[in-house]
Amino acid sequence: MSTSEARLEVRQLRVSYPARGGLLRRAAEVHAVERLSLTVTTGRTLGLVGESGCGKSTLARAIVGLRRPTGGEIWYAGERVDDADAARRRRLTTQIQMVYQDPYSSLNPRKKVSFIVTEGWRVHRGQVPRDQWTDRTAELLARVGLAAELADRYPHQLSGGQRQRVGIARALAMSPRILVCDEPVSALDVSVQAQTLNLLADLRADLGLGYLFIAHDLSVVRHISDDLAVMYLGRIVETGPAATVYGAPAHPYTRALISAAPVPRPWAAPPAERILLTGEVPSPASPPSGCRFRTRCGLAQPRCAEVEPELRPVAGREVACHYAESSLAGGGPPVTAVTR
Amino acid sequence: MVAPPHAPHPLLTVDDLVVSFDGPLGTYRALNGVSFSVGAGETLAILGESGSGKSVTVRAVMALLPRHSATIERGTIRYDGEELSALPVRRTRELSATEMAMVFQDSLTALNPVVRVGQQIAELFRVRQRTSRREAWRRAVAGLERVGIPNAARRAHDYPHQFSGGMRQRVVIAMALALRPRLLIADEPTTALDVTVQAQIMDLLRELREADGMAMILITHDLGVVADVADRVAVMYAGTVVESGPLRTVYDAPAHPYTRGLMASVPAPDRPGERLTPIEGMPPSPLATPAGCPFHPRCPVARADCRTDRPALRVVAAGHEAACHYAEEVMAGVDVRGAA
Repeated sequence: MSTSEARLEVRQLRVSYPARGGLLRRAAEVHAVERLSLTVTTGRTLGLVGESGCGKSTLARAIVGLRRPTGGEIWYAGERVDDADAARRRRLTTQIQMVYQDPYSSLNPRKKVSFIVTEGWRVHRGQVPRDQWTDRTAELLARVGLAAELADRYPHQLSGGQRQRVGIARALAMSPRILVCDEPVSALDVSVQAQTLNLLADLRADLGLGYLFIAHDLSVVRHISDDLAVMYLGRIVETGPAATVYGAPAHPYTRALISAAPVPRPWAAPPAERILLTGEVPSPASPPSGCRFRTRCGLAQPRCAEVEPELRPVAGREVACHYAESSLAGGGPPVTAVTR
Repeated sequence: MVAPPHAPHPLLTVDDLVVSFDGPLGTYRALNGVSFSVGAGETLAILGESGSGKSVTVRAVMALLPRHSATIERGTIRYDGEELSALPVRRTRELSATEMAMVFQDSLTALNPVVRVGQQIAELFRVRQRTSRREAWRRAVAGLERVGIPNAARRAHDYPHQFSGGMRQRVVIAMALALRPRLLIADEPTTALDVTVQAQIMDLLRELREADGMAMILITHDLGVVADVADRVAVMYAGTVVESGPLRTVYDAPAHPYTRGLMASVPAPDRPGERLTPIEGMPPSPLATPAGCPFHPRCPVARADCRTDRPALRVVAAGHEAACHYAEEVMAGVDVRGAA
């Protein structure tokens, strides 16, 4: 395994879907991801949080090449990825692999574990010589904590946690440098989730992998991440070192997200401010003008409807909010803050 | 099981409930002696991982078990002095329409997709209280207003698919509360929702419960959600209650090794990156529940007798019960980590 640092860079990425208008109406476009930039470095974890529909899975799919971006660039190790031709794309896909959310639907139910893990080698001839497949499969299964005899099982004979390990082994089979993990533990029970998180932490340390770790569960993201990016309606609203962002969130949305996350033993922690957002995430088909969060924001001012805030450095992280300073200081009077 | 001393008037008592299912792979016991009680006005959380039997338990209470495949082999369900299991299903259904109500996880399937939501709620008043059509509609709109649906009078004419997930869950809650039940059973009411919407719904449930003095059984796998609302918690594992007691007692001084394992599995917000202590292995299949204590194969304190003698739920402190031969050691915090 090479140990040189490699970077995955997403620059001003835009991914759009055609939105059906009514009959005979011209199709409009929904920007699921809009001018989004982030960097994933090997050996580190960038945690990406956001609610459903914010575009985080679309972003993941664009990065691994399952969805064509409509704007912006994706770079890996100094090479532009998103416009790569088929041959180069194939080479690059070995470097950036994905672990999917649902360990039930992401494994072919008709294939044995041994086939699923080796499938990449069938596509990428020469990656691993045929006569080494059995040994390498056993090695990979051991690596993810599965017994070698599971190679002969079908997915339905495995538990959810075991399936997710197979999914991880399949990704590792290509000897990637970057893993894009899309909600890798959210379908798992608490005790199994902890096993999987430990495994991912071990793999990162031993193989020097870089993770883009996408999840909606803040406590999980906080646990595994060095850096944090918070996404809302296709854009990053706050990003920086995890301790900084989590410890003192500056964007009103980050504050609400952190305060809404249930804590197992709230009485053991200092009383936290509680911000209850009203309403739900607007449809990405018609995002609000100006700041996309303003319709749910207690701090919103007339200016927020007119000018879309761009990410700018504030207190050791980047925030896309006109009033990040006052939000960081505890927010203005319009925020409905209740102490619990 | 005797009613715990702090709940002098249990509204619902389930005692030694055993339910078996005929499945394609043979008959198996989904519940293996479940006992718990809920006092009037009290909130009990039933906490457990998937397959632990928490949903089967409340479905048995509501007489919603599939008639052809499920059998109540043993045990009693007593509601307000009446023994439900001895009554015809019809009587339970009557009770479950007026006295007990249920909120399901998936609001989309809980509602009829082709009937206007106002009509679905109004029907309850028409059928159960024989009110006039106009009065029933008026009450339905009032119910929707009460759960915080904006423009309730207009929205009552909409169909379920026209509501967002959070709003739809509010509709389901309005429907459950329509006849002012004394017991609300909420089965993973927020699992399908985003964290900021989850916080809104849990706040709503808490408010309504306090206003109506209603008892609630909250079924969840999320330790944090439990901590937010419950007075008492019952922890389920492999079809039995392994521990129950006041929330803080159970969370701060768990008496069952499984509960302790769950607590250690959750990432602590103040110790990011610290290695988690998961429970080894995975829950047993209901087709092959281990002899003796069902938890012994995964238990770090298990001894010889745990493999043969099944521990009964017993009082370990005031109002605190656990089904473990060595509960006292577990409570004393004898460090067993790493012993497995």
